[in-house]
Amino acid sequence: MTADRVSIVDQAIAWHLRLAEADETGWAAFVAWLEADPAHAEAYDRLAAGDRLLDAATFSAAPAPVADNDNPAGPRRWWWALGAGGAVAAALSVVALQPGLLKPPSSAYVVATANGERKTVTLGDGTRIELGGGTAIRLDRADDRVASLERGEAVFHVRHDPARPFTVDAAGVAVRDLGTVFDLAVADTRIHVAVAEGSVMVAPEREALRLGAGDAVALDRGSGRIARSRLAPELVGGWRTGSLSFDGARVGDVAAALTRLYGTELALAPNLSNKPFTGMVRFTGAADRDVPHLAELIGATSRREGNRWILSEAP
Amino acid sequence: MLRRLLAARLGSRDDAEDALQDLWLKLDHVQAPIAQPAAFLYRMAANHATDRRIAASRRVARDGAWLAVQPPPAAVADPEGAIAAADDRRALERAIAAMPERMATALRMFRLEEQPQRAVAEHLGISVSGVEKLLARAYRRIHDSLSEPDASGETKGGSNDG
Repeated sequence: MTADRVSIVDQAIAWHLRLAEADETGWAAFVAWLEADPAHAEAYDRLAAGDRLLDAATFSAAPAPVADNDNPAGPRRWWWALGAGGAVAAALSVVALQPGLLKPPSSAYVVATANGERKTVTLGDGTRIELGGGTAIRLDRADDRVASLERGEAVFHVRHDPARPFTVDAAGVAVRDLGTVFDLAVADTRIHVAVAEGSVMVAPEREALRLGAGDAVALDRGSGRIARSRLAPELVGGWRTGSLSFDGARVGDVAAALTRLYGTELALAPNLSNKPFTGMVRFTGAADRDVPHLAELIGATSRREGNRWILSEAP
Repeated sequence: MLRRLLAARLGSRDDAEDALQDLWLKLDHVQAPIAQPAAFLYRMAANHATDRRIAASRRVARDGAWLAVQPPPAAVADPEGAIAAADDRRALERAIAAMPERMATALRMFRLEEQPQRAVAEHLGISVSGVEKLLARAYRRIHDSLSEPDASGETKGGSNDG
């Protein structure tokens, strides 16, 4: 590769980095650069193709800066420890502000989606995980039977192996498959599990709740509240088709789901956020239909300010 | 200007015309509010061009003449292409695994989490231009790993930067 070509590749890279935040003028300048020389277009073409592969790439999480690697239970223990005292809690809250510091052993890696994005990961054993928007899941190259849902929601299609059960950790609650397809969502200390096929065991070492097809449980590690419910198994993971069902949720949860799923920016009047919400909502992905629809369901009014939608209580 | 972008990316005005038609169809389905409509259109067009180029390159050898490539009407099931794509993915995974921690973090935040470079800079405690350099080196590694496919099973690169 000649020095010339090297520098063209570097130029292509510089453009690519700039385009992420480019305005109209920036794009016009990029077009001019592409047109200036076929070698420019060719270099950018290769780069864009390589960049596209990153969509499906997995990233190792970084090694830990603090000595937490010898905690075999992983993040779970940390959550139990939350109530244990000021010092621990303070240390944890510092870590929580810098998610990058929550370091796993080096074989772990994170797969993440932005709001409005979706992704499917297939593990070595054939287990398939469908990630919704705004979701991050930590996996382990050395052990494909463990996972940790750090935020968001995912549907797990688990290849069952009685000898090596698949376990997902969410907000410190373990969910263990007993041969199954299930949906798991986490927000702060609250998790929600719903089973489409087979069964799972939630918190096997604590409450040991066994859920079969059509069972769901909402569990709050903060308050200790546990609520079981039933739903039609075909509604489990309904976010994949835009049908979301909620049972004993809050309006804030519905809004958060909409933001994760489609990237819709939604602000709620404070009194609305905590209103209870039970029922099914169908979303289309088009905010100018979905937000007014949601507003109607909860007896609120919606208006739009630039990119943001605002829901407030109907007068 | 959109047409020019597509023509420059696709290497043919006819293809650009075709791609533009596709793009309008796609845009019909976009109803979310958009912050910077012009930049958004450019980004969609550029992504669409990349899709078409990738679909096209699956049909021909990687090093075939770039300008001779005709994009197919749509990506079709293609086992050989799938194998080549899997090779590329492995090369990419190796390149990422060989990256120094901060480089991989910067790339993940920028690319997967779509964070602005400023946010990456704050997270890493370096300047925005430092982030830009880090990302440029990350992309350089990715580019090089895909250009020289599968030289050996070993991971390349050391931890000389990051």
